[in-house]
Amino acid sequence: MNGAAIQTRNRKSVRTTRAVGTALKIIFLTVMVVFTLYPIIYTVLGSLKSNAELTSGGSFFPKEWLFENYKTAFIQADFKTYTKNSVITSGITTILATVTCAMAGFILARKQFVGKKLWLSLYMAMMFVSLGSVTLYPIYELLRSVGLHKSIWGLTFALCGGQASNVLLVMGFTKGIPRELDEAATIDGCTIYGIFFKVVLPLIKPILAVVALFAFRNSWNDYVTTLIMTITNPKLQTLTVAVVQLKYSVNAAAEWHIMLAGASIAIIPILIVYALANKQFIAGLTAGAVKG
Amino acid sequence: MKRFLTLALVMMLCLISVAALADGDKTIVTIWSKDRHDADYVQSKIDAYNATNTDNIEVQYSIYSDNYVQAVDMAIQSGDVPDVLVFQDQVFTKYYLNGQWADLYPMMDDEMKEYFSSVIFKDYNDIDGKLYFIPTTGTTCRLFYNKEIFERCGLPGAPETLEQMVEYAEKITSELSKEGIYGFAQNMKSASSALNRSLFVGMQRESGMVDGFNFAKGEYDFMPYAESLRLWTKLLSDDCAFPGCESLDIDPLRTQFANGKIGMYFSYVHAEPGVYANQFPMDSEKWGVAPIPTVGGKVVGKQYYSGTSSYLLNAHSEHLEDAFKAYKAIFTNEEYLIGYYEGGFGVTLLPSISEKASPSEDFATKEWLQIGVIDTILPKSPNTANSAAVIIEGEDMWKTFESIYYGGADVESTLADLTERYNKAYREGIELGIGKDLKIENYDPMNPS
Amino acid sequence: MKQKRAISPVKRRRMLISNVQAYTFMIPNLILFICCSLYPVIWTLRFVFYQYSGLGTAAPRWVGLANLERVFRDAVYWKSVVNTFVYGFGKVIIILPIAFILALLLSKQRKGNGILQSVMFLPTIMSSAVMGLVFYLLFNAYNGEINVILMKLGVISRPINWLGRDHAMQTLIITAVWGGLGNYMVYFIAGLQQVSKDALESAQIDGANAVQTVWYITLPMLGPILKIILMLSITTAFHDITNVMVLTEGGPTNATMVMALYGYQYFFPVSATTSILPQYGYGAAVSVVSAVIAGIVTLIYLAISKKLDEVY
Repeated sequence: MNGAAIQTRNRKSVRTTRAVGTALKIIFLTVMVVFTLYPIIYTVLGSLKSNAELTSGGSFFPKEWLFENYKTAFIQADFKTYTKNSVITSGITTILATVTCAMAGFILARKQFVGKKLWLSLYMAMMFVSLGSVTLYPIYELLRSVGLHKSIWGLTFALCGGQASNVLLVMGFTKGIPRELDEAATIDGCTIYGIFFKVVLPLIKPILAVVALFAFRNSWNDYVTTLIMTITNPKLQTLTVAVVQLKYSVNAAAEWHIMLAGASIAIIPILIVYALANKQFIAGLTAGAVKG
Repeated sequence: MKRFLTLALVMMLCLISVAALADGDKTIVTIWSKDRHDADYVQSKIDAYNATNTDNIEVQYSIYSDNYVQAVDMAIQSGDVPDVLVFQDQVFTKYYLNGQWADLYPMMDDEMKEYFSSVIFKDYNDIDGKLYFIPTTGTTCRLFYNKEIFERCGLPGAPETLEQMVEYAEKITSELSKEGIYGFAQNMKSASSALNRSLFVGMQRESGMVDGFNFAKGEYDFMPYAESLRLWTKLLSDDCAFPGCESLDIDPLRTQFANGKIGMYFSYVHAEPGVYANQFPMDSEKWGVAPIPTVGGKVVGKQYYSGTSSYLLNAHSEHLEDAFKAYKAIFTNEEYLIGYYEGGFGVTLLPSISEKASPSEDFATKEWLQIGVIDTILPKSPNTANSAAVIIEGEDMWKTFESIYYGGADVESTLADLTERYNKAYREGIELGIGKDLKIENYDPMNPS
Repeated sequence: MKQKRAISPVKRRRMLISNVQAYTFMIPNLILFICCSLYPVIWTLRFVFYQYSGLGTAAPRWVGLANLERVFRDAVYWKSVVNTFVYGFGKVIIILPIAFILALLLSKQRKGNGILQSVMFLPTIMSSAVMGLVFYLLFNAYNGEINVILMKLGVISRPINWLGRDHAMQTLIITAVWGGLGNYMVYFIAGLQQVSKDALESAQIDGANAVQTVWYITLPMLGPILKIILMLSITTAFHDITNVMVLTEGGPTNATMVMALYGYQYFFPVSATTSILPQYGYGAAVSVVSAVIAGIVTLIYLAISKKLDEVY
């Protein structure tokens, strides 16, 4: 509020309005924070309760902190295997996505070549034509025909997907880097490979970080693709799928605590990544949004 | 970045080499199951077999529960069919014509043939002189009810007609719902799972039809289901049903039944005793079993029972002989069969086992847990005999029924439309040469075979 | 072709090298793109004209336009289309105002706002499948935590059947709001940073109060980003499937069946007791029609927003 406004009004009423405003603000923010955090806190705290306590409900903190729920999840429900699968698939997907998008995005931004127009329009088209998860079936068929449908490599491949929008994202970012830099490097005797590795790559790191983060998040959190690709081979399930499958497991109704322990195991790594890189996540979202 | 790439590459190579360093020299026999209720028992027997067998066989046992049919479909399409699979009606009928399942006769010795002679039925498991599976236990569907709740409400015993059942459920709900106790519940989340263990089985006795298929006429006719569906609509209304029924799975339902919150529900006889003995403990004297009530108590036919704990062998398995060896050693020995029956995982069909075993008190005191006079082996309806030959346009019978009891659709017109759609699909399948005409001359639902 | 012939051999060679170089960069991604995006789409388009239930059943049979005709007769499909719109709009109508207010409150550089932003953004990085399971437990009718709390507080006397016919869609929308709020808040914050400070200050000098400033200055200036936000919210609503799959599986009685899930079910039918055969042809037809609907909605939206631009 500036002086002009204050002059036109009664000071006292301004103060009360402001107090009411602040109070409303605090109430609103508190409600939103509770709404946002409650399910997550419920998951983490619930994973330490007994099944009886969970299903009767009503307690916030566990009456008894049952850390053995995690042990049960890890050993009995075989979560160590799923954790391994999750780490492998997400790790490799992240690398695969980042490397391939960096290369393709760079070349599309910088070079003319035969078929470039065609590819670009296909990339664009695929971003808008979305047939959804039914396309998993042909992918599965394809992997089967090359014998990859039972290996973690096939799963990783399918999880990585076409990456069309990320390629375009990297392309757009690379275009924003002055071409003069490339030209200077060419004069210095750099090949196209040199330009890529020495000039452009260091400069497009921010956008690659975004691609990497989102690739990691997407494959760690993926449900449908992994579910389909692992249906004949549940040993390849990732944490996300394994946790949800607990809902259909032998003792589903008696194992809410194990479900929540599993859910915690699945969400804690991503929470840690988020704690370290929340700024990048938020920035990355806007970067993607501006591109459309 | 370069270092990063090299690192990534090295990591990938390492992982590939680890992956390549696969298995030892044992013959791996894979067994797939869909059953959860006997999982621990079967696993313990398999562990024992793995530890003791001298044929250098290692059995790997996996359970697919809800995804079973889908998993088998995908496995067959990709050619990675396991060596041994738990029998499932659809899985069997869909693929036996292609020669996917092995004929057991050539591998069985005379002693084994003799031992299981009582569970070999022509056109059921012995088709054209080939034996595809051996059912050792059986199952059918019944009404399960909480005796305590019945006593509290002054109800004399299990209802004999569907009308009575609605009345009982209303009474229980109106008197005890304030304590969280309700008259009726069913796992309505999956209409097919719920109705296949209840309404459709009751209708087999009430109308002599299977899945709405009239064998005598050789066509579908859902009109006789009208009255049942009207009563079911009442059963599932707030006046009778447990809240949240429509999104209930069977296991949560069982926990609530074990907690004494549910008056009545329908399920399979092979599963429930084991569930209340082990999974969700409940005193045996608290619950009772009765035949599924029909409209007005009308009975013109028998209801189906099917063989359970039977196994199919993959005819294309690379080590079929070893698979059979493992199958025979684990699942067909007397000790296993006795333990299975005594553990309450399934009702034995073998006379020698019922003589020797001392099953849990459930089976001794509850006669309707046994396969009895009202049960028989029924012929298959076209949609189960070959589902590829009856491709329905629009919603299937289960979903359509759901639209009646939950969606308030008009009973008569909806059933007429359903009848028409099924007959159309059935005839189309025959015309295309995929399906067969399943009309049976002089079909007697009381004595079908 | 004529032009190429005119090029000297040296130049042609250089062009060849340059193309080979370009493709060495393109190929890794092209492999992924062709296998995981292009091929599946073409496969699906082709099967629109066939009836096929997978290996082990009858071979694919050409049926022409029968599958597409069937889509237009299929009442359940159209119900799922309506549900998709209810879901999409329900989500947007709740999310947008809340996200906007949050953005207004949290966009200022002030201590604590950064942390609050991170907190509000947190749900968007969580797996909607895992959280779907958690919500399934929370919203359970007979012993879910939500009902227990509401009953303890005396808000309700009888458990609400959150996942039942009458409430399932609302519950689904609530969980979607939970999962999407942070995204839209961040979009709005990005938009707010582009709102000119001068305009805001001059408004305040003219004596506008906070609410008036927001209404007359901030909101209109958010136009461009608002367009992107609406666009995104429309398109995501068409593809959301995980949430529905885990929480309600489209039920009860198709109350939460959305079109993406409907097509999926014909490809991957799940049932423990009955084998429902996949119908790839029909599923493909459903998906193609859904994609067209999504495309039309996007086009209509673009046309309208262009018209609006002209009016302003």
